[in-house]
Formats: sequence, structure tokens, C-alpha cells
Amino acid sequence: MLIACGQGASAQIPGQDPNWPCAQRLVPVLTPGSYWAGNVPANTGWRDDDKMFPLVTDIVNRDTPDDRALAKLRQYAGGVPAAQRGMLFSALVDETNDERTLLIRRIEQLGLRQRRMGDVVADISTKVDEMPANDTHRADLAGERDFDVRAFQETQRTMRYACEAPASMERRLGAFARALQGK
Amino acid sequence: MSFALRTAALRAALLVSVAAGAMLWAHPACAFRVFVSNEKDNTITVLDGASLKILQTVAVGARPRGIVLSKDGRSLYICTSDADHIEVLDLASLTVTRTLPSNPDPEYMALSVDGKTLYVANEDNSQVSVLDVTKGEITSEIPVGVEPEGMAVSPDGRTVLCTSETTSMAHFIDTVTHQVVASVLVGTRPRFAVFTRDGARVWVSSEVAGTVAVIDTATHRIIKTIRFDLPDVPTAAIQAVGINLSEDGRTAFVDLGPANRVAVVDANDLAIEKYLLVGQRVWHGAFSPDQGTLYVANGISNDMSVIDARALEVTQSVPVGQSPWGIVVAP
Repeated sequence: MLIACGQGASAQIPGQDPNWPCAQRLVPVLTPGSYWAGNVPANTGWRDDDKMFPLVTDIVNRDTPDDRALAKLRQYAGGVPAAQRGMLFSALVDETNDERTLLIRRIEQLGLRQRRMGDVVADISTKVDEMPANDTHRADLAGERDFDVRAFQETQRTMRYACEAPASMERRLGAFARALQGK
Repeated sequence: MSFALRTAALRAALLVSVAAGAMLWAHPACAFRVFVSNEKDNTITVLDGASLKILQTVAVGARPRGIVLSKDGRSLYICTSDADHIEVLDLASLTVTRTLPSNPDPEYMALSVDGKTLYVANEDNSQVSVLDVTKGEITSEIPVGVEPEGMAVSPDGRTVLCTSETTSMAHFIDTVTHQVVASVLVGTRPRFAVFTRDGARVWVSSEVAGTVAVIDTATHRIIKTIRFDLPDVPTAAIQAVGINLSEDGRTAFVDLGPANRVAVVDANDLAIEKYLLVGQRVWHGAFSPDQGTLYVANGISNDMSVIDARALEVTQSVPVGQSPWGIVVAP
């Protein structure tokens, strides 16, 4: 069981960063081209744009409900030419990447903690196994191990949800792309 | 009427009905349904093929992924991965009527040519389970590489191909001896395999490498490794998974996962013709009975893209369940 737990906490995908603990293959950075038909103009100056900056940060913010974000997006997109819609999408990708990168780091830290916890559990288990059956400390140590296993399993369940979060951000970004392209 | 005459008449009637059935199935206007497995909400979405309206959403076991149609078109086999078994959905009543053993974590499977045997990839224990569908028993277990996944049966029924994700190999297994007769090294994390109709080639997709290896089945040598290059799409997002080969043998459609594209490949010269922008994380697909339409499941955007397979255009997006994975078209 411990081996199975340990494997679940670490990366299993060949050719991928071993610190990434999720089953889904990590795409570290998103680009407009994955979502947009045709070329998307680069937009490096959107943070200095008084109108675009508050719009983009509000739309990408995960606290903004999907329907409200999409309504704001459509309202903006209705009054501007196609090229400007592409510029807006480029900015949305930029801001999503910033938020998503922070999220990815947190998931990696969680994964690293799980790997360390797996090592701790394995270490205690070895000690318990090596102790004579009549050792008075054996039951205490076994109890400590069981507590750690439960903590590990609890985090593992959290991990499953955490691993869904980057995909949720991608889903939202895809919806923004479709709305801006009138689909 | 003599016995011989009666028998002849019965045979003729049977042939007519079989032919009529085949014609009905092949006719473009024939009613058909599209079945989509949704791995997150544990359902199968059933859509009407003509209107693409959802007819029913059927609750099944935990994490349905690989789905395969029985040879008589009456049942759908479903790998319910987290339930550790295969469920049989009766397509007339849309109810699960049987549960078949599969060993742990079945993800994908292939049906033998006679429809009596299912070959199931067991990701967790590095083996292929050979399942007698009638008896509902596993009759053999074939050891293969680590994390088997993609499964395909050759048109002559003599070979079953299994890909192993971690070992990055395509294993050719003799269906009589159950021995691995050849293992071909392909791109990292091979996920899916499909034989050409003449059995001369097998196409194997690799998710991490983002490639498709086209293998000569006589020599077990790779004829070509097809690479996909999309401007402004990260290499890590180009994850080749599902492949659909057109019946005329001319075109292959390769699903490229989170690149959100289906690549159209000339199946003869193996050159890429076009990329189609579809929904997010496109995984597997299926043709309509007349081959004019390709349906693909998009795991992140929770929809199914509809592709005009002749004009090579995406015509529609249809919302289905949560995390759609596999697609089957059936009467």
C-alpha cells in the first residue's frame, strides 16, 4: 500500500518534470495559438493600458463568475475591430499564465511534500518492522505511522482536486477565445 | 415444400435480411446514435445522429473511458476504470445488463474479429487480459511492457497490438499462442493504435512525443514517424492520442490533445494536409456510418466537435458530459 501511495504522489509520466505530481501531462505555459484560428498579434503593453488592464485582470480573476466574465468580454468585443479582439485575447493568455504558474508551483510544492511524507512513512515502517514484538515503543511508533498514512491519504485526495485546477483555467480561457471569435 | 426447399428459402430470407441490415447501416440517411463516455461524471451521453440532440444520459460505473461496440451492434462495452471492471450497455434498453471482469484499472480494449474475445489493457499490472465475452471469464493474462494502454486487433484477427506507455513500445501479440512476437520502440508514452483495413500497416500515436509511428506489420519496422508542428502552440501541448482512418484508406485524422487540433494526414504519402481547430484536449473520435462526418470528444471543454470529413471543416460544437473521453457511433 505504501509503495502504491508513493507512486501516486510522484510523477509517472516519462519525459516529464518529476516534480509534477498529476496524472495529466503538464503544459507549463499556454499560448494564444492553441485557442485561436489564425495569427494572434502580440500584446506586451496591455498592463500600461488604462482600459485594458482592469478589464483583463477582472475577467481572468477566478473569483469573477464565468457568466459575468463572458458578458464583459462580449460587451467589449462588440465594439472593437477583429485585430483588437486578438490583442485582448493575447492579454488574457498572459494574465492567465501568471495566475496558472503560481498555481502550478503550489501543486508542485504539494507533490514534493507528499514525496517527503512517503519517505517518512517508509522510514517509520522499517523501524516498526525491525522492532521486537515485545518492545514497549512499538505500538507508539506504529500509531505514529498510521497517523502519517492517514495524513498522506488525505492530501492525496486534495491533490486530485488541485490537479484539476490548471485544466479549469484552460477551460475558461477556451471559452474566452470562442466568445471573442464569435463562436 | 420439401425440407431442402424450405431450408433454401430460409437461407435466402436470412441473406436478404442481413443484406438489408447492412444496407440500412451503410445508408447515409440511416438513423444512428453517437455514444460518448464522460470520465468525470460517470455517464454515457447518447445523442441522435441526425439532430445531435441528447436522447439520454446513462449513469454507468466509475470513470468510463474506453468504449467499444459489439460486432452485432447491440451492445457497448465500457471500461469503467475506477470500478475495475467492464460494463455491457444494452443499446436497445440503454441499461447496463452485464458486468465483465477485467483485472484492475481497465482503460482501453479491442474486440476480436469474431466478437467473442475482448483484449483489455490493464495499466496497473503490466498485462493484457484476454476476456471470453460469452462466458464472462478471463481466460488468459499476457505480460507486456509497463502501463499497457492502446489496443488494436488486426483485420485478419491473428495479431493484437498493445502499446505500453512507460516502456514506449508497441507489442505485437499472436492471438493463438498469446506470445509477444515483436516489440517496436516508438515515441514516448504511446496511447493508441489502429490497423489499416488491409492490415499492412498499423498507426501508433505517442502522447508525450507528440508523434505517430506508422509501422509495417510484415517487417515490424517503422515506415515513418509523423511529427506535428504548429506555430505558436507549445510542444508540450501537442499530444497525439486518437486516430481515425477513413474506410477508403486515404485519410487519417489524428487527435492532438491540448493543442486543440485534429491533424488531417494523407494516409498514403503520410504528409500532413491540414490542422482543424476543435474543442479543448481532443482525445478520441468516430466516423458517422457514411464516413462523411467525424465526431471528436474534447476532455476539457466538455463538448464534442463535429467535423465535415470531406470538406475538412469543423461545423459544430455539441455540449456533452464532464470530461468526454471516447466516442462510438452505433445504430
